Amino acid sequence: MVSTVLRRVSARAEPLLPIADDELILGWRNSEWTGIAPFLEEDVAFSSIAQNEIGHARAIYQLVAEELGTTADELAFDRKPEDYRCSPFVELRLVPDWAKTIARHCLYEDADQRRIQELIEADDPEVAGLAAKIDREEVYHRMHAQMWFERLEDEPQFQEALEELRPLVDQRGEHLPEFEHLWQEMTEVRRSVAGATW
Amino acid sequence: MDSRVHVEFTPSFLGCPALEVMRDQMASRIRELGAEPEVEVVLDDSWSTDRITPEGREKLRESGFAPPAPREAGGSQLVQLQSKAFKCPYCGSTETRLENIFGPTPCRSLRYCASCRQPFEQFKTI
Repeated sequence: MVSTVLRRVSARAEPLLPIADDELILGWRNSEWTGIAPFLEEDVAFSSIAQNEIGHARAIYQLVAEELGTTADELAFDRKPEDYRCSPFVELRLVPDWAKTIARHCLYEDADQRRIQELIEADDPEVAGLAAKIDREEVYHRMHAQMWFERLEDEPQFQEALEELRPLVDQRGEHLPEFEHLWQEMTEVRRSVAGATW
Repeated sequence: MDSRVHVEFTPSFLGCPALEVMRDQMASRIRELGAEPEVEVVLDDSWSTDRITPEGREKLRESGFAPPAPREAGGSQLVQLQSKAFKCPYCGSTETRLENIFGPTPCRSLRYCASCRQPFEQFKTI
């Protein structure tokens, strides 16, 4: 039998689901730059970051799915829009605004680092182990954000974007209207063919 | 006789798109050898690129991939990637520069060798 299992089972769905949902939705938003980023290097970078974030979401969903008696795909694609716990901050559709995209990237990576660090220090070794793994990968996202921050920090347009987005970082609650469209697109395959796999 | 074979493996990056392919290939190879495979994907930080053997690193280099640098205490920093401490897998020169933190797969960066004027892929440290 082939199975994807984690080493130990924990019951930590409550704090983990919002993180997984953020990573899934931000991964989706980042992937919207694929093919249209201002530089070829950034096309590759944002596609790669998107892939990583969605990989983190999948790993967290897997961890949570076991104790909820479901699967990662069901959590990612079969929930109703109101059941997703992501922040409106990651739901914002920012294409084609590069300054805002980089501003969100910098703010998100900073906030994400803090909550991943809390998980690394968690008592649950399974959660801590996965968080440490995620953090190893996020290092490269932070380097990328830092590189762009240094490049744009003197640009008024970038500073305005930071000011505009900063208050949204820790906001939770109502989804933005544009989340509905994302959800429609993201869940289309599974709504058309129940249980479809990739 | 117990003919089950248990394999634990850790992806370099969790979002690796080759994960399922590698898992299925391991399983089918084990089946070909007459055993029942149990392939477990480990999702923690217990594996590091530091565990790639010298032989494995040499195979990477021969294939044109620069092997990963060792893990640093305190984690990798941008300034290190931007330094010239990385050797070109083709000519061995350290006159190399970072072109892009991200490459064709999540586990690799792109660098350029100013000595032999060859772009190359550098494995990320995990």
